Amino acid sequence: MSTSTDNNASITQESGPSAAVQDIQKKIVVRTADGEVFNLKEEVAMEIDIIKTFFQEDSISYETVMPLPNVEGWEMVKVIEYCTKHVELKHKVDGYKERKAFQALFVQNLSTKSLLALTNTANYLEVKYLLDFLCQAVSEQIKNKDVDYVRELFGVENDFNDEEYEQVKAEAPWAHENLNNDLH
Amino acid sequence: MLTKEEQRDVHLPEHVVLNILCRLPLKSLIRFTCVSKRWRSVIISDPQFANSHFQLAASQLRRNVLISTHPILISKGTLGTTHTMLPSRFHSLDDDFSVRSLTFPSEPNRDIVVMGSCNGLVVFGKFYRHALVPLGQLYCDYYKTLGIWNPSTGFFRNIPSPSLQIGMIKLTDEKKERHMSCVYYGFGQVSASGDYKFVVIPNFGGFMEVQVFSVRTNCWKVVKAPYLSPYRLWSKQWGTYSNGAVHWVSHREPGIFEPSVYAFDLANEEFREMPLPVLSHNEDGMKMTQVRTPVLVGGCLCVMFQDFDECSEFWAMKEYGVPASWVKLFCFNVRDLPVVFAPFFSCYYWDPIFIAEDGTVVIKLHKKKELVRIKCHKEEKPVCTERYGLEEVPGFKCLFDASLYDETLVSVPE
Repeated sequence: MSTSTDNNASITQESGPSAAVQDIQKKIVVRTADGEVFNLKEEVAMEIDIIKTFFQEDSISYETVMPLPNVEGWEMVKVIEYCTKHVELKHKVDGYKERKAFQALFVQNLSTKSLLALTNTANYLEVKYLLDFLCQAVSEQIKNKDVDYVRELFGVENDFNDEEYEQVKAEAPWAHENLNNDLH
Repeated sequence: MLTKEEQRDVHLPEHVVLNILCRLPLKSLIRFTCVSKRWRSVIISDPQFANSHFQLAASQLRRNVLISTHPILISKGTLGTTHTMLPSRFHSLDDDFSVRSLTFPSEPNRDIVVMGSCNGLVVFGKFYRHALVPLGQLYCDYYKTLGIWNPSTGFFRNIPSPSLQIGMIKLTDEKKERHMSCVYYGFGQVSASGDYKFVVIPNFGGFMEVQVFSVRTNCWKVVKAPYLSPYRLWSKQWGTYSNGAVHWVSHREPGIFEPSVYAFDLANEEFREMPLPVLSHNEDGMKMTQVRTPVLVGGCLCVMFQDFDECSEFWAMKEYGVPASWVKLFCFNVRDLPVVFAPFFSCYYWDPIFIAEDGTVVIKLHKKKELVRIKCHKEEKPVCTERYGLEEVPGFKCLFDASLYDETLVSVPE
Protein backbone atom coordinates (compact mmCIF):
# COMPACT_ATOMS: atom_id res chain seq x y z
CA MET A 1 0.00 0.00 0.00
CA SER A 2 1.44 3.23 -0.95
CA THR A 3 0.10 6.50 0.16
CA SER A 4 1.27 9.46 -1.71
CA THR A 5 2.08 11.99 0.88
CA ASP A 6 1.68 15.51 -0.17
CA ASN A 7 4.29 17.23 1.93
CA ASN A 8 2.72 20.58 1.49
CA ALA A 9 -0.52 19.41 2.99
CA SER A 10 0.93 17.66 6.05
CA ILE A 11 0.57 19.53 9.29
CA THR A 12 3.44 19.05 11.67
CA GLN A 13 2.49 18.77 15.27
CA GLU A 14 4.09 21.72 16.97
CA SER A 15 3.07 23.25 20.22
CA GLY A 16 1.94 26.81 20.45
CA PRO A 17 -0.17 29.02 18.27
CA SER A 18 2.76 29.87 15.99
CA ALA A 19 2.47 26.55 14.24
CA ALA A 20 -1.00 27.24 12.94
CA VAL A 21 -0.04 30.79 12.02
CA GLN A 22 3.03 29.55 10.21
CA ASP A 23 1.08 27.43 7.83
CA ILE A 24 -1.45 30.10 7.07
CA GLN A 25 1.21 32.82 6.72
CA LYS A 26 1.61 33.97 3.20
CA LYS A 27 4.91 34.21 1.52
CA ILE A 28 6.18 37.06 -0.54
CA VAL A 29 8.64 36.36 -3.30
CA VAL A 30 11.39 38.70 -4.42
CA ARG A 31 14.12 38.36 -7.00
CA THR A 32 17.47 40.09 -6.53
CA ALA A 33 19.77 41.52 -9.19
CA ASP A 34 21.75 38.31 -9.57
CA GLY A 35 18.62 36.27 -10.26
CA GLU A 36 18.27 34.71 -6.82
CA VAL A 37 14.75 34.20 -5.59
CA PHE A 38 13.76 34.57 -1.94
CA ASN A 39 10.61 33.51 -0.14
CA LEU A 40 9.92 35.83 2.74
CA LYS A 41 7.44 35.33 5.51
CA GLU A 42 4.86 38.08 5.27
CA GLU A 43 5.62 39.52 8.71
CA VAL A 44 9.31 39.83 7.82
CA ALA A 45 8.60 41.20 4.35
CA MET A 46 6.43 43.93 5.84
CA GLU A 47 9.45 45.22 7.81
CA ILE A 48 10.93 46.23 4.47
CA ASP A 49 9.07 49.39 3.51
CA ILE A 50 9.76 49.24 -0.18
CA ILE A 51 8.19 45.77 -0.31
CA LYS A 52 5.35 46.80 1.95
CA THR A 53 4.51 49.75 -0.27
CA PHE A 54 4.71 47.67 -3.43
CA PHE A 55 2.24 45.06 -2.27
CA GLN A 56 -0.07 47.04 -0.05
CA GLU A 57 -0.47 50.32 -1.82
CA ASP A 58 -1.36 48.96 -5.20
CA SER A 59 -2.91 45.76 -3.86
CA ILE A 60 -0.65 43.75 -6.03
CA SER A 61 -1.25 40.05 -5.68
CA TYR A 62 1.25 38.12 -3.58
CA GLU A 63 1.66 35.83 -6.54
CA THR A 64 3.79 38.49 -8.21
CA VAL A 65 7.53 38.17 -7.83
CA MET A 66 8.89 41.57 -6.90
CA PRO A 67 12.11 42.50 -8.66
CA LEU A 68 14.85 44.14 -6.61
CA PRO A 69 17.39 45.15 -9.23
CA ASN A 70 19.57 47.11 -6.81
CA VAL A 71 20.03 44.31 -4.32
CA GLU A 72 22.52 41.46 -4.44
CA GLY A 73 21.65 38.00 -3.20
CA TRP A 74 24.07 38.04 -0.26
CA GLU A 75 22.69 41.40 0.84
CA MET A 76 19.14 40.05 0.83
CA VAL A 77 20.25 37.15 3.01
CA LYS A 78 21.64 39.59 5.58
CA VAL A 79 18.59 41.84 5.49
CA ILE A 80 16.26 38.91 6.01
CA GLU A 81 18.46 37.70 8.84
CA TYR A 82 18.27 41.08 10.61
CA CYS A 83 14.57 41.68 10.07
CA THR A 84 13.67 38.18 11.18
CA LYS A 85 15.57 38.71 14.41
CA HIS A 86 13.98 42.10 14.85
CA VAL A 87 10.48 40.63 14.53
CA GLU A 88 11.38 37.85 16.94
CA LEU A 89 12.68 40.30 19.56
CA LYS A 90 9.63 42.54 19.22
CA HIS A 91 7.64 40.07 21.23
CA LYS A 92 10.31 39.55 23.86
CA VAL A 93 10.21 41.58 27.00
CA ASP A 94 13.88 41.68 27.87
CA GLY A 95 15.70 41.26 24.60
CA TYR A 96 18.44 43.83 25.12
CA LYS A 97 21.35 41.47 25.72
CA GLU A 98 20.24 39.12 23.01
CA ARG A 99 19.95 41.97 20.55
CA LYS A 100 23.42 43.23 21.40
CA ALA A 101 24.94 39.78 21.00
CA PHE A 102 23.16 39.29 17.70
CA GLN A 103 24.29 42.69 16.41
CA ALA A 104 27.92 41.94 17.27
CA LEU A 105 27.81 38.66 15.36
CA PHE A 106 25.94 40.20 12.46
CA VAL A 107 28.76 42.56 11.51
CA GLN A 108 31.60 40.34 12.61
CA ASN A 109 32.79 39.05 9.28
CA LEU A 110 31.83 41.94 7.08
CA SER A 111 34.53 44.08 5.53
CA THR A 112 33.99 47.82 5.74
CA LYS A 113 33.26 47.91 2.03
CA SER A 114 30.63 45.19 2.45
CA LEU A 115 29.13 47.09 5.37
CA LEU A 116 28.87 50.11 3.16
CA ALA A 117 27.16 48.13 0.41
CA LEU A 118 24.74 46.73 2.93
CA THR A 119 24.06 50.22 4.29
CA ASN A 120 23.23 51.38 0.79
CA THR A 121 20.86 48.45 0.40
CA ALA A 122 19.16 49.09 3.75
CA ASN A 123 18.58 52.65 2.58
CA TYR A 124 17.17 51.51 -0.76
CA LEU A 125 14.94 48.89 0.82
CA GLU A 126 13.81 51.44 3.43
CA VAL A 127 14.41 49.56 6.66
CA LYS A 128 15.10 52.43 9.05
CA TYR A 129 16.29 50.56 12.11
CA LEU A 130 18.67 48.47 10.04
CA LEU A 131 19.96 51.60 8.30
CA ASP A 132 20.63 53.34 11.62
CA PHE A 133 22.34 50.28 13.04
CA LEU A 134 24.57 49.89 9.99
CA CYS A 135 25.47 53.60 9.97
CA GLN A 136 26.51 53.26 13.59
CA ALA A 137 28.58 50.20 12.71
CA VAL A 138 30.33 51.99 9.85
CA SER A 139 31.07 55.00 12.06
CA GLU A 140 32.71 52.68 14.62
CA GLN A 141 34.93 51.27 11.92
CA ILE A 142 36.05 54.56 10.41
CA LYS A 143 36.43 56.73 13.48
CA ASN A 144 40.18 56.19 13.80
CA LYS A 145 40.99 56.14 10.11
CA ASP A 146 42.81 58.84 8.23
CA VAL A 147 41.60 61.20 5.53
CA ASP A 148 42.90 59.15 2.59
CA TYR A 149 41.20 56.00 3.79
CA VAL A 150 37.87 57.76 4.15
CA ARG A 151 38.14 59.41 0.72
CA GLU A 152 38.79 56.04 -0.87
CA LEU A 153 36.01 54.33 1.04
CA PHE A 154 33.33 56.85 0.19
CA GLY A 155 34.66 57.61 -3.28
CA VAL A 156 35.05 61.30 -2.46
CA GLU A 157 37.32 63.40 -4.59
CA ASN A 158 39.78 65.72 -2.93
CA ASP A 159 38.96 69.20 -4.16
CA PHE A 160 41.52 70.96 -1.97
CA ASN A 161 44.74 71.92 -3.65
CA ASP A 162 47.94 71.11 -1.75
CA GLU A 163 48.14 74.51 -0.14
CA GLU A 164 44.50 74.53 0.98
CA TYR A 165 44.83 71.04 2.36
CA GLU A 166 47.88 71.91 4.44
CA GLN A 167 46.03 74.96 5.72
CA VAL A 168 42.96 73.11 6.92
CA LYS A 169 45.08 70.35 8.36
CA ALA A 170 47.16 72.88 10.27
CA GLU A 171 44.05 74.20 11.99
CA ALA A 172 43.81 71.11 14.11
CA PRO A 173 46.93 68.95 13.95
CA TRP A 174 45.85 67.09 17.09
CA ALA A 175 42.95 65.57 15.18
CA HIS A 176 45.34 63.77 12.84
CA GLU A 177 47.28 61.96 15.53
CA ASN A 178 46.94 58.46 16.94
CA LEU A 179 45.17 56.90 14.03
CA ASN A 180 44.73 53.30 13.08
CA ASN A 181 44.71 52.42 9.44
CA ASP A 182 44.59 48.63 9.63
CA LEU A 183 42.91 47.17 6.62
CA HIS A 184 39.46 45.99 7.29
CA MET B 1 30.41 39.00 0.68
CA LEU B 2 32.03 41.00 -2.06
CA THR B 3 34.96 39.26 -3.61
CA LYS B 4 37.89 41.33 -4.75
CA GLU B 5 36.59 41.33 -8.29
CA GLU B 6 33.08 42.18 -7.30
CA GLN B 7 34.07 45.11 -5.11
CA ARG B 8 32.64 47.97 -6.96
CA ASP B 9 32.53 51.43 -5.56
CA VAL B 10 29.53 51.95 -3.42
CA HIS B 11 28.08 55.37 -3.90
CA LEU B 12 25.99 56.35 -0.92
CA PRO B 13 23.43 59.13 -1.14
CA GLU B 14 24.49 62.14 0.92
CA HIS B 15 21.89 61.78 3.66
CA VAL B 16 23.21 58.30 4.40
CA VAL B 17 26.78 59.59 4.55
CA LEU B 18 25.61 62.25 6.99
CA ASN B 19 23.82 59.60 9.03
CA ILE B 20 27.19 57.88 9.41
CA LEU B 21 29.17 61.05 10.06
CA CYS B 22 26.94 62.49 12.73
CA ARG B 23 27.68 59.45 14.89
CA LEU B 24 31.41 60.14 14.94
CA PRO B 25 33.31 61.64 17.85
CA LEU B 26 34.43 65.24 17.45
CA LYS B 27 38.10 64.43 16.84
CA SER B 28 37.21 62.27 13.84
CA LEU B 29 34.88 64.92 12.47
CA ILE B 30 37.47 67.67 12.75
CA ARG B 31 39.93 65.43 10.92
CA PHE B 32 37.41 64.67 8.18
CA THR B 33 36.92 68.35 7.45
CA CYS B 34 40.04 67.73 5.32
CA VAL B 35 38.31 65.15 3.13
CA SER B 36 36.65 67.62 0.78
CA LYS B 37 35.20 71.11 0.68
CA ARG B 38 31.68 69.77 0.87
CA TRP B 39 32.45 67.67 3.95
CA ARG B 40 34.16 70.62 5.57
CA SER B 41 31.21 72.86 4.92
CA VAL B 42 28.71 70.39 6.35
CA ILE B 43 30.73 69.51 9.44
CA ILE B 44 31.62 73.04 10.43
CA SER B 45 28.84 75.24 9.10
CA ASP B 46 25.67 73.21 8.87
CA PRO B 47 23.53 73.85 11.96
CA GLN B 48 21.27 70.92 11.15
CA PHE B 49 24.22 68.56 11.08
CA ALA B 50 25.59 70.06 14.30
CA ASN B 51 22.23 69.51 15.90
CA SER B 52 21.95 65.88 14.75
CA HIS B 53 25.44 65.25 16.05
CA PHE B 54 24.67 66.87 19.36
CA GLN B 55 21.42 64.93 19.82
CA LEU B 56 23.05 61.62 19.03
CA ALA B 57 26.12 62.23 21.09
CA ALA B 58 24.38 63.81 24.08
CA SER B 59 24.74 60.80 26.29
CA GLN B 60 28.42 60.32 25.65
CA LEU B 61 29.64 63.84 25.14
CA ARG B 62 33.25 64.33 25.81
CA ARG B 63 33.64 66.68 28.69
CA ASN B 64 36.74 68.75 28.40
CA VAL B 65 38.13 71.39 30.65
CA LEU B 66 38.88 74.77 29.18
CA ILE B 67 41.94 76.16 30.87
CA SER B 68 42.48 79.88 30.57
CA THR B 69 45.79 81.25 31.68
CA HIS B 70 46.55 84.91 32.12
CA PRO B 71 50.27 85.45 32.23
CA ILE B 72 51.54 88.55 33.88
CA LEU B 73 55.04 89.67 33.18
CA ILE B 74 56.75 91.01 36.26
CA SER B 75 59.52 93.38 35.47
CA LYS B 76 61.60 95.08 38.07
CA GLY B 77 62.82 98.36 36.75
CA THR B 78 64.33 101.45 38.21
CA LEU B 79 60.87 102.89 38.82
CA GLY B 80 59.66 99.85 40.68
CA THR B 81 57.93 96.66 39.72
CA THR B 82 55.55 96.72 36.82
CA HIS B 83 53.00 94.08 36.01
CA THR B 84 52.18 93.70 32.35
CA MET B 85 49.19 91.65 31.41
CA LEU B 86 49.92 89.40 28.45
CA PRO B 87 47.40 87.83 26.11
CA SER B 88 45.34 85.08 27.69
CA ARG B 89 46.08 81.60 26.49
CA PHE B 90 43.61 78.77 26.21
CA HIS B 91 44.09 75.05 26.38
CA SER B 92 41.76 72.10 26.26
CA LEU B 93 42.23 69.33 28.78
CA ASP B 94 41.01 66.00 27.56
CA ASP B 95 39.41 63.13 29.37
CA ASP B 96 42.79 61.46 29.66
CA PHE B 97 44.37 64.72 30.79
CA SER B 98 46.21 65.33 27.55
CA VAL B 99 46.36 68.99 26.69
CA ARG B 100 46.16 70.82 23.41
CA SER B 101 46.28 74.51 22.80
CA LEU B 102 43.34 76.47 21.44
CA THR B 103 43.36 79.59 19.34
CA PHE B 104 41.36 82.40 20.86
CA PRO B 105 39.31 83.91 18.06
CA SER B 106 39.14 87.57 18.91
CA GLU B 107 40.90 90.73 19.93
CA PRO B 108 41.51 92.10 22.51
CA ASN B 109 42.62 89.02 24.27
CA ARG B 110 43.96 90.07 27.62
CA ASP B 111 42.36 89.07 30.87
CA ILE B 112 39.51 87.23 29.23
CA VAL B 113 37.14 85.63 31.65
CA VAL B 114 35.00 82.63 30.78
CA MET B 115 31.53 83.31 32.10
CA GLY B 116 29.41 80.40 31.03
CA SER B 117 29.33 77.20 29.06
CA CYS B 118 26.49 75.24 27.53
CA ASN B 119 26.30 72.65 24.75
CA GLY B 120 29.86 73.32 23.72
CA LEU B 121 29.42 77.07 23.51
CA VAL B 122 31.42 79.24 25.88
CA VAL B 123 30.69 82.87 26.77
CA PHE B 124 33.70 85.03 27.47
CA GLY B 125 34.26 88.66 28.20
CA LYS B 126 36.55 91.26 29.53
CA PHE B 127 35.30 92.69 32.74
CA TYR B 128 36.27 96.16 33.79
CA ARG B 129 35.89 96.59 37.49
CA HIS B 130 35.35 100.00 38.94
CA ALA B 131 36.42 102.03 36.02
CA LEU B 132 36.21 105.68 36.78
CA VAL B 133 33.59 107.57 34.89
CA PRO B 134 33.72 111.35 34.86
CA LEU B 135 30.89 111.72 37.36
CA GLY B 136 32.85 112.40 40.47
CA GLN B 137 32.90 109.51 42.83
CA LEU B 138 30.94 107.15 40.72
CA TYR B 139 32.46 103.86 39.87
CA CYS B 140 30.96 101.23 37.75
CA ASP B 141 31.53 97.73 36.63
CA TYR B 142 30.90 96.90 33.06
CA TYR B 143 31.56 94.33 30.45
CA LYS B 144 33.12 94.73 27.12
CA THR B 145 34.30 92.34 24.49
CA LEU B 146 31.64 89.78 25.15
CA GLY B 147 31.43 86.88 22.80
CA ILE B 148 30.32 83.31 22.22
CA TRP B 149 32.94 80.77 21.22
CA ASN B 150 32.95 77.08 20.40
CA PRO B 151 36.51 75.98 21.25
CA SER B 152 36.06 72.73 19.31
CA THR B 153 35.26 74.29 15.95
CA GLY B 154 36.58 77.81 16.35
CA PHE B 155 33.14 79.31 15.75
CA PHE B 156 32.87 82.76 17.27
CA ARG B 157 30.36 85.57 17.47
CA ASN B 158 30.38 88.88 19.28
CA ILE B 159 27.80 89.90 21.84
CA PRO B 160 27.00 93.59 22.11
CA SER B 161 27.80 95.12 25.50
CA PRO B 162 24.84 95.82 27.70
CA SER B 163 23.96 99.45 27.23
CA LEU B 164 23.26 99.94 30.89
CA GLN B 165 26.25 99.99 33.06
CA ILE B 166 25.98 97.35 35.67
CA GLY B 167 25.75 98.78 39.06
CA MET B 168 26.98 102.09 40.15
CA ILE B 169 28.62 102.10 43.52
CA LYS B 170 29.18 105.31 45.21
CA LEU B 171 32.27 105.24 47.36
CA THR B 172 32.48 108.03 49.81
CA ASP B 173 35.77 109.21 51.15
CA GLU B 174 35.20 107.79 54.61
CA LYS B 175 33.98 104.44 53.58
CA LYS B 176 36.49 103.04 51.21
CA GLU B 177 35.28 99.55 51.89
CA ARG B 178 32.79 98.41 49.35
CA HIS B 179 29.29 97.35 49.96
CA MET B 180 28.80 93.68 49.68
CA SER B 181 28.75 93.62 45.97
CA CYS B 182 29.37 91.08 43.38
CA VAL B 183 28.33 90.35 39.86
CA TYR B 184 26.95 86.97 38.94
CA TYR B 185 26.51 85.53 35.50
CA GLY B 186 25.19 82.46 33.76
CA PHE B 187 24.59 81.04 30.31
CA GLY B 188 22.29 78.38 29.03
CA GLN B 189 19.76 77.20 26.52
CA VAL B 190 16.03 77.77 26.68
CA SER B 191 14.69 74.26 26.19
CA ALA B 192 11.51 75.08 24.30
CA SER B 193 12.77 77.63 21.83
CA GLY B 194 16.37 76.52 21.45
CA ASP B 195 17.50 80.11 22.07
CA TYR B 196 20.57 80.75 24.20
CA LYS B 197 20.57 83.38 26.92
CA PHE B 198 23.29 85.02 28.92
CA VAL B 199 22.41 86.65 32.21
CA VAL B 200 24.30 89.13 34.34
CA ILE B 201 23.11 89.86 37.85
CA PRO B 202 24.59 92.56 39.98
CA ASN B 203 23.90 92.22 43.65
CA PHE B 204 24.55 95.44 45.44
CA GLY B 205 22.83 95.19 48.76
CA GLY B 206 19.85 96.83 47.13
CA PHE B 207 17.28 96.01 44.55
CA MET B 208 18.21 93.28 42.18
CA GLU B 209 17.93 93.40 38.46
CA VAL B 210 18.85 90.78 35.95
CA GLN B 211 20.31 91.75 32.63
CA VAL B 212 19.26 89.15 30.08
CA PHE B 213 20.78 88.78 26.65
CA SER B 214 19.03 86.66 24.05
CA VAL B 215 21.18 85.32 21.25
CA ARG B 216 18.21 85.10 18.97
CA THR B 217 17.14 88.73 19.29
CA ASN B 218 20.70 89.93 19.85
CA CYS B 219 19.34 92.29 22.51
CA TRP B 220 19.75 92.98 26.18
CA LYS B 221 16.84 93.64 28.45
CA VAL B 222 16.43 94.21 32.15
CA VAL B 223 14.23 92.03 34.29
CA LYS B 224 13.44 93.03 37.84
CA ALA B 225 13.96 90.25 40.32
CA PRO B 226 12.64 89.82 43.84
CA TYR B 227 15.26 90.41 46.46
CA LEU B 228 16.90 87.17 47.38
CA SER B 229 19.25 86.09 50.14
CA PRO B 230 19.71 89.53 51.64
CA TYR B 231 23.27 90.43 52.50
CA ARG B 232 24.44 87.03 51.56
CA LEU B 233 26.72 86.46 48.70
CA TRP B 234 26.30 83.48 46.49
CA SER B 235 29.18 81.08 46.61
CA LYS B 236 30.21 81.31 43.00
CA GLN B 237 29.97 84.02 40.41
CA TRP B 238 29.27 81.58 37.67
CA GLY B 239 25.82 80.01 37.88
CA THR B 240 25.39 76.35 37.04
CA TYR B 241 23.19 75.58 34.08
CA SER B 242 20.80 72.67 34.28
CA ASN B 243 17.33 71.94 32.96
CA GLY B 244 16.77 75.32 31.34
CA ALA B 245 17.78 77.39 34.37
CA VAL B 246 20.89 78.85 35.93
CA HIS B 247 21.52 78.07 39.60
CA TRP B 248 23.35 79.57 42.55
CA VAL B 249 23.56 78.78 46.26
CA SER B 250 24.90 80.69 49.21
CA HIS B 251 26.99 79.51 52.09
CA ARG B 252 25.39 77.77 54.94
CA GLU B 253 25.72 78.54 58.60
CA PRO B 254 24.40 75.64 60.62
CA GLY B 255 21.75 76.83 63.02
CA ILE B 256 21.78 80.33 61.61
CA PHE B 257 21.08 80.26 57.94
CA GLU B 258 19.96 77.47 55.66
CA PRO B 259 20.24 78.45 52.03
CA SER B 260 18.11 77.31 49.14
CA VAL B 261 19.04 76.90 45.54
CA TYR B 262 18.16 79.99 43.56
CA ALA B 263 17.27 79.14 40.01
CA PHE B 264 16.76 81.68 37.27
CA ASP B 265 14.55 80.14 34.64
CA LEU B 266 15.71 81.20 31.21
CA ALA B 267 12.35 80.71 29.55
CA ASN B 268 10.10 82.77 31.78
CA GLU B 269 12.96 84.88 33.15
CA GLU B 270 11.98 84.47 36.76
CA PHE B 271 13.64 83.28 39.90
CA ARG B 272 12.46 80.36 41.93
CA GLU B 273 13.78 78.72 45.05
CA MET B 274 14.41 75.05 45.49
CA PRO B 275 15.25 73.42 48.78
CA LEU B 276 18.61 71.84 49.36
CA PRO B 277 18.85 68.33 50.73
CA VAL B 278 18.39 67.91 54.42
CA LEU B 279 21.63 66.75 55.97
CA SER B 280 21.13 64.00 58.43
CA HIS B 281 24.16 64.63 60.58
CA ASN B 282 24.44 68.34 60.81
CA GLU B 283 24.30 68.17 64.54
CA ASP B 284 27.21 65.85 64.77
CA GLY B 285 29.98 68.34 64.58
CA MET B 286 30.16 67.98 60.82
CA LYS B 287 29.92 71.63 60.16
CA MET B 288 28.95 71.92 56.57
CA THR B 289 29.73 75.46 55.86
CA GLN B 290 30.21 75.83 52.17
CA VAL B 291 27.72 74.91 49.56
CA ARG B 292 28.58 75.07 45.93
CA THR B 293 27.08 73.87 42.70
CA PRO B 294 29.65 71.99 40.70
CA VAL B 295 28.62 70.68 37.34
CA LEU B 296 27.50 67.10 37.18
CA VAL B 297 28.35 65.27 34.01
CA GLY B 298 24.95 64.06 32.93
CA GLY B 299 23.05 67.27 33.45
CA CYS B 300 21.53 66.77 36.92
CA LEU B 301 21.80 69.63 39.33
CA CYS B 302 24.44 68.91 41.89
CA VAL B 303 25.59 70.55 45.11
CA MET B 304 28.62 70.07 47.22
CA PHE B 305 28.65 70.49 50.97
CA GLN B 306 32.00 71.15 52.48
CA ASP B 307 33.40 70.98 55.88
CA PHE B 308 36.06 73.62 56.14
CA ASP B 309 39.10 71.48 55.55
CA GLU B 310 38.05 67.88 55.71
CA CYS B 311 34.94 66.34 54.24
CA SER B 312 33.13 67.12 51.05
CA GLU B 313 29.83 65.56 50.10
CA PHE B 314 28.25 65.56 46.68
CA TRP B 315 24.51 65.43 46.21
CA ALA B 316 22.47 65.30 43.02
CA MET B 317 18.85 66.13 42.39
CA LYS B 318 17.96 63.09 40.35
CA GLU B 319 14.59 64.40 39.29
CA TYR B 320 14.76 68.06 38.60
CA GLY B 321 12.44 70.11 40.78
CA VAL B 322 11.63 67.24 43.12
CA PRO B 323 13.28 67.91 46.49
CA ALA B 324 12.69 64.36 47.62
CA SER B 325 14.95 63.18 44.80
CA TRP B 326 18.14 64.63 46.31
CA VAL B 327 20.56 61.75 46.60
CA LYS B 328 23.99 61.73 48.16
CA LEU B 329 26.33 60.48 45.47
CA PHE B 330 29.60 60.15 47.30
CA CYS B 331 31.98 61.99 49.60
CA PHE B 332 35.66 62.25 50.31
CA ASN B 333 38.01 63.72 52.84
CA VAL B 334 40.85 65.94 51.65
CA ARG B 335 42.98 64.67 54.50
CA ASP B 336 43.02 61.30 52.76
CA LEU B 337 44.95 62.78 49.90
CA PRO B 338 47.80 64.70 51.50
CA VAL B 339 50.00 64.36 48.44
CA VAL B 340 47.45 66.22 46.40
CA PHE B 341 46.20 68.86 48.78
CA ALA B 342 48.81 69.53 51.44
CA PRO B 343 49.24 72.08 52.81
CA PHE B 344 46.22 73.69 51.19
CA PHE B 345 43.42 71.63 52.66
CA SER B 346 41.03 74.47 53.26
CA CYS B 347 38.08 74.64 50.92
CA TYR B 348 39.12 78.15 49.92
CA TYR B 349 42.08 76.74 48.09
CA TRP B 350 40.27 74.46 45.71
CA ASP B 351 37.14 74.08 43.63
CA PRO B 352 35.53 71.15 41.88
CA ILE B 353 35.20 71.66 38.14
CA PHE B 354 32.92 68.75 37.48
CA ILE B 355 31.86 65.45 38.95
CA ALA B 356 30.53 62.21 37.53
CA GLU B 357 28.24 59.71 39.14
CA ASP B 358 30.91 57.07 39.34
CA GLY B 359 32.78 59.11 41.92
CA THR B 360 35.10 61.02 39.63
CA VAL B 361 35.84 64.62 40.58
CA VAL B 362 38.06 67.00 38.68
CA ILE B 363 39.41 69.65 41.01
CA LYS B 364 41.25 72.88 40.46
CA LEU B 365 43.89 73.65 43.05
CA HIS B 366 44.28 77.41 43.09
CA LYS B 367 47.51 77.81 45.00
CA LYS B 368 49.26 74.85 43.51
CA LYS B 369 48.05 75.74 40.04
CA GLU B 370 47.03 72.21 39.22
CA LEU B 371 44.09 70.25 37.96
CA VAL B 372 43.65 66.83 39.46
CA ARG B 373 41.25 63.99 38.92
CA ILE B 374 40.17 62.04 41.95
CA LYS B 375 38.25 58.82 42.07
CA CYS B 376 36.19 58.37 45.20
CA HIS B 377 35.33 54.93 46.45
CA LYS B 378 32.64 53.87 48.85
CA GLU B 379 34.66 51.87 51.29
CA GLU B 380 38.20 52.81 50.42
CA LYS B 381 40.22 55.96 50.37
CA PRO B 382 39.99 58.21 47.34
CA VAL B 383 42.70 57.93 44.72
CA CYS B 384 44.24 60.61 42.55
CA THR B 385 44.29 59.30 39.00
CA GLU B 386 45.54 62.26 36.99
CA ARG B 387 47.37 65.50 37.54
CA TYR B 388 48.09 68.44 35.31
CA GLY B 389 50.20 71.33 36.51
CA LEU B 390 50.73 74.71 34.97
CA GLU B 391 54.27 75.49 34.05
CA GLU B 392 55.93 77.99 36.31
CA VAL B 393 58.03 80.36 34.29
CA PRO B 394 60.42 82.63 36.18
CA GLY B 395 59.58 86.28 35.82
CA PHE B 396 55.95 85.50 35.20
CA LYS B 397 52.99 85.21 37.44
CA CYS B 398 50.16 83.19 36.04
CA LEU B 399 46.52 83.35 36.94
CA PHE B 400 44.43 80.53 35.73
CA ASP B 401 40.82 79.47 35.43
CA ALA B 402 39.22 76.23 34.49
CA SER B 403 35.76 75.63 33.10
CA LEU B 404 33.91 72.60 31.86
CA TYR B 405 32.76 72.53 28.26
CA ASP B 406 31.39 69.92 25.84
CA GLU B 407 32.93 69.01 22.54
CA THR B 408 30.21 69.74 20.02
CA LEU B 409 29.79 71.34 16.62
CA VAL B 410 27.08 73.66 17.88
CA SER B 411 27.03 77.25 16.75
CA VAL B 412 24.51 80.09 16.77
CA PRO B 413 23.42 82.20 13.83
CA GLU B 414 25.66 85.18 13.14
